[in-house]
Amino acid sequence: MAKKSELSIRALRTFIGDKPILRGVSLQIRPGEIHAVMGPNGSGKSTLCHALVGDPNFKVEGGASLDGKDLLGLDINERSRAGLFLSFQTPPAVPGVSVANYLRTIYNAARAPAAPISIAEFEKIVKQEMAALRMDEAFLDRYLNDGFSGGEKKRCETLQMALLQPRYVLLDEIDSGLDVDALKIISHDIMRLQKERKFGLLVITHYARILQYLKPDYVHVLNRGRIIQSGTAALAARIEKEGYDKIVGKEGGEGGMAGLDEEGA
Amino acid sequence: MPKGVKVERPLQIYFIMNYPQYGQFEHTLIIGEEGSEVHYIEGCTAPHYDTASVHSAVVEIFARKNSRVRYTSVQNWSKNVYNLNTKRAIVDAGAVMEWIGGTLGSGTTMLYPCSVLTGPGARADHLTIALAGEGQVKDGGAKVIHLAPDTHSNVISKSISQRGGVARYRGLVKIKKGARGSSVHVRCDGLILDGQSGSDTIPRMEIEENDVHVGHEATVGRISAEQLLYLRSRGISEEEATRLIIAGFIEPVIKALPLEYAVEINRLIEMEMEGL
Repeated sequence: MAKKSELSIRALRTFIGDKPILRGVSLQIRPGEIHAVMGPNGSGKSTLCHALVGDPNFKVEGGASLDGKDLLGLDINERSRAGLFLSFQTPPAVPGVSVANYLRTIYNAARAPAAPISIAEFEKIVKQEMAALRMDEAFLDRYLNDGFSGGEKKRCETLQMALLQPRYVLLDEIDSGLDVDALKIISHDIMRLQKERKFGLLVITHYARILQYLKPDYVHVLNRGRIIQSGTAALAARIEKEGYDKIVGKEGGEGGMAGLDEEGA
Repeated sequence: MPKGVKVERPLQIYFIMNYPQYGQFEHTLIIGEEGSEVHYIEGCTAPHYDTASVHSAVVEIFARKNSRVRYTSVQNWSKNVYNLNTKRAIVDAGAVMEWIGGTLGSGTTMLYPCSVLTGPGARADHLTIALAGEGQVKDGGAKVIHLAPDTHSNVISKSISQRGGVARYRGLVKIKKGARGSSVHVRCDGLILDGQSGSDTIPRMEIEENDVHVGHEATVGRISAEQLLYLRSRGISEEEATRLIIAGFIEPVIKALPLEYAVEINRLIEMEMEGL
């Protein structure tokens, strides 16, 4: 089979212990496309992101590949090197590790086996990216995510996205913990990067609000671990107007995933 | 250190025990006269013999009025050395005493540097890193005794336990009646890397004065799965992610060291992690 440029997710199922979370999710995301996965709380949205990056809390079945490369067999760090990037919903603090040191470490890891670049060279690159994101250089001396506000954390994630140049980006509830102004700024930055670098983007969100700024080509509704409906941006608008209940209630049994067991649903 | 003399570069001393069944009894006396400044660094090492040795230090420091004395000790004895020390500083008015320690080697270490703050405005900082690996017991801590008003002390203790090692913080904070406006802050953090290792915190506080600020914070934990997932998802291996988290954990102490010692301690810790 020829290598296809896409992030391909095929009948992905995840379990915590014996408990199923995702019950067969299939999605294809091509470079330059923006997909939104929406769903009520507990539908499995964040699980999808975590399963793809390789969170060991989940047992995963099914298939996922990135530009033809099997993802599920790769170690967590190799998935990143293959071109996958997850912007965490709540990035953890790593006290004592400066942002500058951290960014240089991950930048060099992404370049390997090429030789690491010098501190001076790296400073030039990082300062350029920070200027484009209008970030204060004082950021570099702070400890990673330590005492960061919600907005600062998300901007730091965006800076890493800019530096690592992924092929596919997953945004896990990027709107959580942000006020409207911060959300606008960060969405604007991500859209700029996406247009410039043409990565495939998967936006995971509960609220349609963010999709005013991160304009999706496709919208999928996830409920109880399954995509029950897919459509265009109009679908998000409908969810915003009518809420999830109507869509979930009316179409809960459809969506092409019939035949999978309903146990525990 | 004569009155008013400031030595910009650290004075470096090296202890080695290169005979089997050795007993080393050192006595170090540092007197920092009024307004002087000195940084004294000692390194300790010993080749490994089949029989145990003992190192027993007595360190006395007098930090006179408005002087500044920094005493740094980096210890990497072989794993069957008993390292039993008594270290004490008398800190006069306006003087600053800093104890900085990295205890990496030895079998059993018992070490509780003491600062007696005798004059108004005296200060003491105690910063330590202890690494406890296989067969090691690191029983360490700090004693701060506030005898005068407006005296301040700050204790930061960082320990890492792995492969069955035990790290213990044993501390004493004493504020005498009349030491008004004084403050003490103690922070001890233990990082336990596996299920066989241990970490204990045994603080003791005797506060006789009401007009003081006393704080004690202690944390004991493991490297969080969340941190590891986050770092690994940015393309670095599990080993490198662990190294980064540990380096961050000891950073508050490392940053007080001269660069070459900071590099050395980080390297020694990495070697211990790899089990060399």
